[in-house]
Amino acid sequence: MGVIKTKRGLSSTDMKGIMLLVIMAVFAAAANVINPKFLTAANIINILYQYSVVGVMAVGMMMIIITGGIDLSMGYSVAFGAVVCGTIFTNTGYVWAAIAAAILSCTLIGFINGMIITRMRIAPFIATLATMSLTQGALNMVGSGLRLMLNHEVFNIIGKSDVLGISTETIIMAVVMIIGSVVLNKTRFGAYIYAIGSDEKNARLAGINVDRYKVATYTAGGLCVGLASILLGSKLTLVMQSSAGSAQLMDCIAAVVIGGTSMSGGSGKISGTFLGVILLGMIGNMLTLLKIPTVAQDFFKGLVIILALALSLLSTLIQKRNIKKAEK
Amino acid sequence: MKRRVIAAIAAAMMMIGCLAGCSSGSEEKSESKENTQESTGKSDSDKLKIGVCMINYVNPFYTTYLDVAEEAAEELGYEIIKNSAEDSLENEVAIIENYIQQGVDAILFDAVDAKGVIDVAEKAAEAGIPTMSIFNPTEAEGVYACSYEHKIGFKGVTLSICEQLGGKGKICAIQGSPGNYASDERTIGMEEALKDYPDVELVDVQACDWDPSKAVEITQNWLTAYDDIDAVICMTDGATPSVAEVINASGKDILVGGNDGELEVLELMNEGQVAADTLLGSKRGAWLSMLYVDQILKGNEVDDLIYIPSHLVSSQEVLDKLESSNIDLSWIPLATPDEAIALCDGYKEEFADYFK
Repeated sequence: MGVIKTKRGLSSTDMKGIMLLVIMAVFAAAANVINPKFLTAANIINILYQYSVVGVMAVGMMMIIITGGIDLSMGYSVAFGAVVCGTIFTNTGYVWAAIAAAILSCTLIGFINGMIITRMRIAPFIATLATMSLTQGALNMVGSGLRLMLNHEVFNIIGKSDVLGISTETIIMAVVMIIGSVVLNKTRFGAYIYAIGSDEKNARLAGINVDRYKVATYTAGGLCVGLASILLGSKLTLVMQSSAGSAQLMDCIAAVVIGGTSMSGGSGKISGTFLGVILLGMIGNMLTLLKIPTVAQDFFKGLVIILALALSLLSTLIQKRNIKKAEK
Repeated sequence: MKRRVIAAIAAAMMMIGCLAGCSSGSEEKSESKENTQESTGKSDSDKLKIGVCMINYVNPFYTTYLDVAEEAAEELGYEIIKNSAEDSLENEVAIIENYIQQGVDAILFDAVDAKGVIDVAEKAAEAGIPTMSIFNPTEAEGVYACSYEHKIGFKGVTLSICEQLGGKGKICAIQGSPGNYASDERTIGMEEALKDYPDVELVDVQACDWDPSKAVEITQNWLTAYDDIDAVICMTDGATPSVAEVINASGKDILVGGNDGELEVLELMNEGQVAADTLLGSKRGAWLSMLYVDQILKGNEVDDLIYIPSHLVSSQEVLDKLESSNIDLSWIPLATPDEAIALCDGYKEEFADYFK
């Protein structure tokens, strides 16, 4: 996987994770001093619930970024899935058909992304920028003027129930993250996508069918978005064209980047992405608890992303220095 | 080869899905065009043309407006040319410029930005084209406005919630977007109402930017941060159902107030999940604005600014209590959820005598 370890056995990704934990601890301590509710179990459960949609999307985004790619269509794709689900449910009443259609449509978008990138040899940024526009247009056409209520027991269980105080959505996010971690660390598919992200040319020379694995990764990303669209719809109950968009895309890229996944591909851990999701959730939550207007949220998120990237750079520099020392 | 075929099939499936989503609308549109000619007996070229510029075509509020505006145009004998600004002031200015160049007979627009649109709206008015801002007034000279009573409406919602709390308690408010005319007016209305309830504490006000996901997040944060909130009032019904569902799922006894009078919210009020709302209604707005432009085009004398009356909507029990109290409610009409639903659909009857 191209991961360099120090003599103490810590990889660059591990160090980024530790630094992220330090940032989170500082944030949490500061917030808790101002409002003691911040570090309560109820509030942490609340943060996990709020960011479960972003968390599930981030698993897919992370796998794509590990290959050295990106998927800009995810923000509108998640809204598209929710609207497809709402349209089919309100028109037919078949809840499982609606859920399946939402997941399938988002998976299809992911598959199309993969095919365009690999068959037409278009850079992922450009290709998914185009499919983002396509998805937004499709969403506008399908969802124009619609307000769709997801009033059904299944959606209530997904979006509003809990098990031992932990919301079902959080549990679904945890399951998706565990599956993502197993796929990345214990399967050939996971090893190959790290290899593709580290050095695509060498991966091809090693006999890996790069195009096939890239298509599979974008399709898996689409599958995650499809699942996230069901979580989104179930949580909101009322879905419409404006239910999601660029905000969810930015959050899921930010969570992956804050979590230490390299934008150039080849490295990244689910645990880091999980911490990234929690940190993003903490920012929004903390601002509300401190009565800071939510309009300032993007500003603070931007600051945290810069801080995380700076610390990530610092950890890489420290590691390079340690390797040089060890070589001497 | 096999993969290319699969990719082509996948892309075709997506396109079919989108076209299916749009096809029913296209059929309706062509049908309505035929109806226009049948009902007025005029061909399109004989009719006066009204250029309508909406903020976008995706918000249900705007699409409903357009449907009813087209229905009104059929009955009144006008032709509607419509365009969407796609949430962009630049697009809106270009669309109005084009309407001026085309020489349309009237222009109706919903301002993306009330200040940014002033110059082009005044230019249209100076060109002798009756120009009207819908939903919100602008400061443009010579431009008509058919506006909702945002301030009065949300003042009513706040008052109803305060009364239902017995004049004492803690409330949180979700704004639309600071700087937006409707959001700011609703905030002023809320503050005016709260002046009469010194024992009602406004714990926090946060903006959701009209985004239901953000409104849900804010509400969840409040539910965790404060144990003793008595009410959450939300300035947009785009988010009210989601907020009400979150509060309902929490099991806490918290009143919910909304704004707009959307059907889902009125139904939730009947189920006891929403305590107060304001009826605006895009159908009502569309019908009245078209009657208004009709009066202007006929040369009848009308005011520069008219309001689409807001109604305070609460359950019969709450309305009875309000009416039996000493509070002056002469400034806002009252309606139960069922009456509000009837008003939404009975827009023709409601405004039948408005200009008589």
